[in-house]
Amino acid sequence: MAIKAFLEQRQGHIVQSGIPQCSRPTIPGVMSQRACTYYGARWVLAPVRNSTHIVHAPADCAYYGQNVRKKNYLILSTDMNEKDVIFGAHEKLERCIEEAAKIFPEHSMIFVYSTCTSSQIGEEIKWVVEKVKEKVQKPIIPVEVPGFGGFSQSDGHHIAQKAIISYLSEYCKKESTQPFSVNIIGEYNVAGETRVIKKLLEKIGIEVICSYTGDCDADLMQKSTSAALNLLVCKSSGLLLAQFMRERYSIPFVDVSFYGLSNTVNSLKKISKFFGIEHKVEMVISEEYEKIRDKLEKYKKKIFGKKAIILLGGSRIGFMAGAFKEAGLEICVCGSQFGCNIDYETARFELPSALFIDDFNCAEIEEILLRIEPDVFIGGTREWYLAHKFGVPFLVFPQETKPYACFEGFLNMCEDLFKEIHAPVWRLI
Amino acid sequence: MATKLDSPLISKANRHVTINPPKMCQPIGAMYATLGIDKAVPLVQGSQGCCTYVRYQFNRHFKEPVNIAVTSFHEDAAVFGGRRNLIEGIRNLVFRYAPKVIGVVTTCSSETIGDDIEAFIKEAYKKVREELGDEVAQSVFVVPIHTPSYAGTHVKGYDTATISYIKYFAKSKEPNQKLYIIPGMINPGDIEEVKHLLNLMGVEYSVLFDISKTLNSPLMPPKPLYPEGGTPWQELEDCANGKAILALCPHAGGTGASYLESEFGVKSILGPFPVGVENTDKFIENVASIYEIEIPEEVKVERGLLLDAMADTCQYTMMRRAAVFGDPDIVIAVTRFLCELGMDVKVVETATPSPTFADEIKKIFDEYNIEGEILVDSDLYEFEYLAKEAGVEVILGNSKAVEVAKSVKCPVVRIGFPVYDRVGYFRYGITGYKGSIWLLDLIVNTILDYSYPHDKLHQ
Repeated sequence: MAIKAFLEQRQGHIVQSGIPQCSRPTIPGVMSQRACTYYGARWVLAPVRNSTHIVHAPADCAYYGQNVRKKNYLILSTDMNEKDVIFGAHEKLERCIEEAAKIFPEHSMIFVYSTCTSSQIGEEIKWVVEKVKEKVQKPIIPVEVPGFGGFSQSDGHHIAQKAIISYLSEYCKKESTQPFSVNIIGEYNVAGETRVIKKLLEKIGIEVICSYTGDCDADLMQKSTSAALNLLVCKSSGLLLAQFMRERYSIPFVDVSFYGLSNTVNSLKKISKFFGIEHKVEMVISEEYEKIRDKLEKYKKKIFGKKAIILLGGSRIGFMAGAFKEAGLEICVCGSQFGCNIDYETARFELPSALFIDDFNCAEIEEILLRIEPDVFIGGTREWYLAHKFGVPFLVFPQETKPYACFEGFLNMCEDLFKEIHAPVWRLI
Repeated sequence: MATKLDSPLISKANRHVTINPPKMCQPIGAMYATLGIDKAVPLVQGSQGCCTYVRYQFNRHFKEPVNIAVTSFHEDAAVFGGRRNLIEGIRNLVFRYAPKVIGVVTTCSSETIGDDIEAFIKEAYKKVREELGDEVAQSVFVVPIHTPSYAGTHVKGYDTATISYIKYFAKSKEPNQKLYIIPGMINPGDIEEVKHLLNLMGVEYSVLFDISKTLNSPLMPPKPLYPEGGTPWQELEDCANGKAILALCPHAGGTGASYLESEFGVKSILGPFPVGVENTDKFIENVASIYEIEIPEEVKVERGLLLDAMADTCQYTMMRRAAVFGDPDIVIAVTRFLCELGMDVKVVETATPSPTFADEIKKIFDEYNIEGEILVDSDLYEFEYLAKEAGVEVILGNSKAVEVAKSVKCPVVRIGFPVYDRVGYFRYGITGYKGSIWLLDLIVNTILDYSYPHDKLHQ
């Protein structure tokens, strides 16, 4: 009832055909599923190994930012208090950076983040960084990510990329080009996916040098300049970096995705075409497919035609929609917290008649669950338990334990879908 | 993550940088309290992250959906103030969710720019009245809660929320015979356990900020808009007329209880958090003396069962080195219980600044002849260093303890909030005699699992 009147405000964001309005501010007073810029930056930068991360803010920003994608990372904070907010905390930050360098001498770089509070009181972290650079003698990279900057975590992804770019342009020179080598950009090693992708690429004779940022440290970043090709997995969190590397180090990039069989096969073909090794690929593909075929068919039969809702972040929706369609799901609703026009266009190509929602919120999810009564819901942790309360099976993404990428990953995904949908609990309600 | 023992420790007191802080923000505490009120929604006046991160914590600990709204600060609001955001936010929330109580929880950004929340709320009421009518405007209570995170931790946030709500609602009327409880940031299972004890004592009571049902709700479609079971706002109004008010965790809720005593003359009792033998005894004695009743036989039996369990397992617990961290009241209570078990408590830490914490722990240490490190307003780096140095054999803390334990090479017993890497911990309380038995079993089984061969029978 209330939702109908509310829809007026959100009309352009919920559409049955075409592309929804997106990249707009969220309406105040809703239970938004979006996060802040700082969150987006942590998502990208946290996995960088052998680096110190200092958050210039009250301690809680560091507390929440410690845990990224279900993994804990070492995190430091300047722990601002009332006095710091009133009188400024330049000196404190300066000392913190020096202390951090002393306590963790083995770390090869330092990231310094500013969040809401430090930005509002006008802390110039860039200035502080310049000031201590000489004393500390290691690269320090300022990351200015006030939570209110931009409309969602997507803006944080951009700023984090710019931070990596600033590091690369200052410290990493191109020495040579290594044949048959690639970097993966926008791949975060959720549940070991980087490992699976690497293994597959190795089979066709291609070496992965650096995976930004799932398998990444200062050394690998230096080496990554010698790659022959960049594979762009996530546009929202990788496009800038890929473009930069193309201009700076003349490394071309291709869009790829390893979610779903046809995506994986197409990506492998694209890559092998670039390197001129098409002959190897066909064999690897059929070999890998043979391995999973029997089990996959079994699961696919059991999930064929099930009605699904997918609500995921940005550039995932397009590729994932393809993968879920391949698994046999019928996708009725597709939405994203922070998708941009390109994301929705890719997804629309896969799903010509689905309902599209931009920046969905709790009330809308509840309404959709009631009206559509899906067989399965695919989304993030915050929607998980809500769906369960409606008696709807849920597949959480990013996933909990197993990789979903490539051939074996696709099998894992279908298996997880089967497990969720056919759990006896849904029949007992 | 691992600390190095060869380089000397710079203690937190002599250091500016905080490494792995185990403290959360004030708003999460305020939201914890708000979620315990019937048909209440916390409205975060700040950036989206302040709401998202908190919802993650709740989702992952309780495995429940939570209703938390946000006024979505973007650049304009952060510079020019959140007036428009709050007014529109309240209107949209009322329009959409028809809540009974809205707790406006401020954040760092909103406090730094000096938002005049009280004035904005007045304007919001005007807008709601104009657009949705008098009746709607009168049916909703909007309570401002000031929680800038640079001025305290989640414990202070809970405390601030309790006093904000009590000040807003409490009204002097006909006196009643009820015992009011402010639970603090404890689990649904803990609250159930306290209720169980009070039921055995036959006392009339009411738990303010009761999350025991709202954050542990059944799967019974159709899902109601709000989970059943929170404290009705009338109870908050009526607590001014109660017989006594008991703050289980003095750091989280003590201010609210003291306010009730000074303003309305309701007898207030602060703590102790009833874990272990002595603390639970004290809780029972306090309740018994307020109502001048005898301690019932069932309660005595439960006490006996706890003692029996302690006697059965003392061979495993005696002199075993332990370290504890977490919220001050919970840590104080658990430390006492560990001492009662004969354990050798080597490091005790809370990240929340507290004037009483060190003294309380010192008192327990003196009583049981223990020499351990006491850390206040510290971080997990220092805790890890000292725990490693002391060679502790078991660590008690929330899920953040896991990385520490890996480095120290010992097992973890999970207590407190949040526990997101195991299921079900919110269900089982560690309070009361029964809860203490559960905690004891947990500790001993963890130790057995970790350090005893599996092919031996333990007798």
